[in-house]
Amino acid sequence: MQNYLLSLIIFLPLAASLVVVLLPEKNTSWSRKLAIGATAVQCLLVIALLAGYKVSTGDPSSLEGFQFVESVPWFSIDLSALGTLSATYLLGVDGLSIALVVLNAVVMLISTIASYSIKEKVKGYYSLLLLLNGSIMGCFLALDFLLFYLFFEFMLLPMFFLIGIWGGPRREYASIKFFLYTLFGSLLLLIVMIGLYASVMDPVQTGSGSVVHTFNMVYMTDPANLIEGSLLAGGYEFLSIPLRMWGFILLFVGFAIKIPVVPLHTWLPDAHVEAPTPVSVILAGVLLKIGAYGLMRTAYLMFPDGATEYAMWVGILGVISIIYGALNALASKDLKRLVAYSSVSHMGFVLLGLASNTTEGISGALFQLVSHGVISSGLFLIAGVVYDRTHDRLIANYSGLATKMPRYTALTILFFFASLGLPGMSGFIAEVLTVLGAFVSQSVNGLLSRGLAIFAVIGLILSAAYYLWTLQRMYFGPFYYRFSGGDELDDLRRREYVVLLPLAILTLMLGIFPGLLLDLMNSTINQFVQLVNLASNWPG
Amino acid sequence: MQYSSENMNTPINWLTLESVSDSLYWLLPELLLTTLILLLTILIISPVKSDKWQKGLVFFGIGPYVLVNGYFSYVLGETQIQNLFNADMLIVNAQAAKWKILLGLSMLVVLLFPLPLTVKRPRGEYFLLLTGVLLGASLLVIANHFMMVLISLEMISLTSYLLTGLARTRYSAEAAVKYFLFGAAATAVMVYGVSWLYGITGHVSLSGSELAMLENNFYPDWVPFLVVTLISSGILFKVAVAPWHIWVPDVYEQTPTPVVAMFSVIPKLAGFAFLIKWITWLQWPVEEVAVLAVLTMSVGNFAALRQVNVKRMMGYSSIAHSGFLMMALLFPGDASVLFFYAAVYIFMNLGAFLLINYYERMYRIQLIKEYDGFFRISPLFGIYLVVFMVALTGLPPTAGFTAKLFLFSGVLAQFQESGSALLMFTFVFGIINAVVSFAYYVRIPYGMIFRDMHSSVNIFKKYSVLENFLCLFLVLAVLLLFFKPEWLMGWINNSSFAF
Repeated sequence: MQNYLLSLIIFLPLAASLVVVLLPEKNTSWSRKLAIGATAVQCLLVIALLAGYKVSTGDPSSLEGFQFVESVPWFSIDLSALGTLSATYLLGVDGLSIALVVLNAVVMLISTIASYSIKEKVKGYYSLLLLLNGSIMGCFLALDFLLFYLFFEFMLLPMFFLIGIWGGPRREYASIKFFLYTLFGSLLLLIVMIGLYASVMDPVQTGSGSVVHTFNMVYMTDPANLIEGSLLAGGYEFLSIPLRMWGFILLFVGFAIKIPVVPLHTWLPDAHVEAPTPVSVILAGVLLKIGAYGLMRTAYLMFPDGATEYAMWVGILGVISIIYGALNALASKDLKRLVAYSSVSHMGFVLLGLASNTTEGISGALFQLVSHGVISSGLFLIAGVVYDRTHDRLIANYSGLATKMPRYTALTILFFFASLGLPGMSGFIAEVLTVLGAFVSQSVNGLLSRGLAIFAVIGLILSAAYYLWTLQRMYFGPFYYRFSGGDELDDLRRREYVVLLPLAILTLMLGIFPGLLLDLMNSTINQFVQLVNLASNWPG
Repeated sequence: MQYSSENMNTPINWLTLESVSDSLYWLLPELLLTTLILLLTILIISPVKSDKWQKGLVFFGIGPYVLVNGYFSYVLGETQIQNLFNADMLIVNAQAAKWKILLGLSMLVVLLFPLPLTVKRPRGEYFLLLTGVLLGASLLVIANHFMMVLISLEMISLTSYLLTGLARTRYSAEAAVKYFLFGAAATAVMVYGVSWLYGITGHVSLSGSELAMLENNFYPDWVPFLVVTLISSGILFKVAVAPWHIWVPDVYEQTPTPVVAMFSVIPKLAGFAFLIKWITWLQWPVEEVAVLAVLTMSVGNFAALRQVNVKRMMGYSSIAHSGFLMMALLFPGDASVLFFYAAVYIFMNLGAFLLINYYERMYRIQLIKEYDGFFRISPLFGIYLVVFMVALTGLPPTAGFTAKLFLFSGVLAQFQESGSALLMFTFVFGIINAVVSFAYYVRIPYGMIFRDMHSSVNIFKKYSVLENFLCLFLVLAVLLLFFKPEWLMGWINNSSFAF
């Protein structure tokens, strides 16, 4: 039976975006209502998906491991000399993507609601937001590389416009920088995608005689589908590095830009500082996750040999991101820039967990993705609360906010502590699991050295330092605001509660009952770890 | 000299009356164009002053031209070849007919471009000259003999020089003279090369085994290289492959936009249709094609980054696309990719020029920075422009992406076969060039959307419904061919695309 739930989840916001564009110009409140309505319905659909999702299955190397699979032939072209090229409209969900789909739905709903501060060109704003929503969902659900690439590229345009039109004073610079960085990354993916397509066949359609090339990402994870003597079947070299290693390197760099990994991270602070609050929320909450998800889905599953070969380097880059990001956050004068650099630091843990390729490490990495998605969304909203009132985010301009805004301070403390890894909140579970994974890796599979785990812990201490220092500077002590008596700094308003509280509850819930999330992903993660450890099955 | 006896002994195909009438039948599209040119000449010297008649006549001439070619591509089937007059001069097959359909259709689109104000009445010669270019291009596609190639190239060139000077301003006269001087030199070089070929082999047709004679040990190594380079330069000049591209920027900047749109499509595609024949026949080493391809696209893209004039920028963009089309010549055995790229290039490039023409006519703007803020005045046209620019860069969801995907896949497949690292470099350079090209393509829509207008807008001409529909059609084609590439590819593949 064909199930259309996933298509509905992707195309509902896209359809709503079209409707928003067609709405009459004068009644702008309708576009907001429609956008919130569509995203809420999408959330309900995701809940239905979650209810129907069975936790027991989940082998990411065969289509049976996926649920809610939709498969419609897209095109099949005979390029005489190059063989037949076939692409499928293939969607499916497994343990790697289910949590991120849920995260995306939640973060999208919250950022749509949080968009009340947008007053200009409202129609365009909401239609772009919905467009972004649909294409991000598409990224998480697509199982055909061409389809994935389509959504991946398509995501750039709405984000580019959202930063470029509704952003802060340096929006032009920030949006172009964002676009060029990510475009460069996606072209690296394109190189590998063409190579993979040239080397992988469709085992079902390739019966007798002619070879049918495929973009199917699931087929690409099985070494049995490699075409004999093809580019990625071993034996080919470029600049004396085997092409299979190139495949991993290019995919890694392409997605590392998105994550972002130091030293490819410089677009992120600029984009965050200039983007309006709800867009920052999406950027940190889900957009960065696509990088890590893509790394797992493509680089690790399709090039496990590269993943094990370069595990140490990936781990080292992860640790550098953790520490360098934290040091930058410590030096930031702008609250939003601080949160942005803390994102770089926390995404470093994801990389470290991935590099370890142990059950603990991978679980930690995925848990960190969700947990960081929730916490960083909260943190950007927290930064937005002050910015909305004064249009000023410089930490040094404030002091003693706790006396004027006690409830706001309470929530700030909650999110700060969640982010610095206080036990009982989601960040703690994620970071403990990744560091544990990195620690045991030396004895389990020998990929990482224990020293990395120790350096990662230094990053944790640094994050405690910058958060506590910020708390002390901005929130405690006698009240002071540089430019006025602070009358405009009233406590949280109702709609700010509406967006902040659910995130706070989620953080606590995941911290206290981590099983909720871990059970969902566990079976897939076990298979994933096994598949990557079987790197010797791959030729070359 | 090498007048070998075996050459003299080749059997002579006697011309019979039957074969003449047969051949004339297959020459019908070209005859149609010739008749059209004659009728247009009569109209120009007749007392009828309105150009409506001429315009109508052109459509009634080129429409059937496309239809007849469509019929030919259908009857000729997969492999049938018609050697006209048994002379090895003109060869018609389904592939040539399809190229001609492409040329005819793009000419029809160009004819629908509203003319800019700079072109003064009477405009009769405009239609006449355009038809002349089409006739030359059409002959070049079926040419199989260097006599014919020279005639058709000159047919294209001479009409092009006149079209360049159509605006009759000082600058356009300068561009026309430049184009003429460069073009005449290129033709001279080519003729010189052909005379070498004839001197060595005694033949200048593409059907024989002259190649083997050219490469036999009787001559030093540099001779075949010299001959091939000299001959190729004439065609490479026409299709604007670096380093034969220097005429492009000036000509593109000063020529009326509809004519530029035509220049960027018709002579170029006809040139490539012939190049692939020539390269297959020559078995030209892949390395040289790869070097030319990379050089051309890099020169085009990097020079385009610094341009301030939209048409000049599009000139460099057209050079860059010649580089991409050259990439398709790396696997000449399969021309379907070249054809697909060419077809998509027509849609997106004509679309872009249609919009440039629109803004030039309506607001008299030509500089990139003058486009700032225009999104608010016509959002629909702004969105069209975004689609065309995204397609020209080669990003999804447009057919520009699909075309580049096929192209890069082909290069990789070729690399798999030969293992030459140069092909891998070509592949990587192609992708780098795609990123670079985005940086200049995006400048126009970027300014339109993000920046404010510079001064008050003066609208000079009425809004044209025709332009709007034409743009919509081209946008839809560019988008649809991404989602359904098999619609075009299936049609291309129903006849063999190898010679």
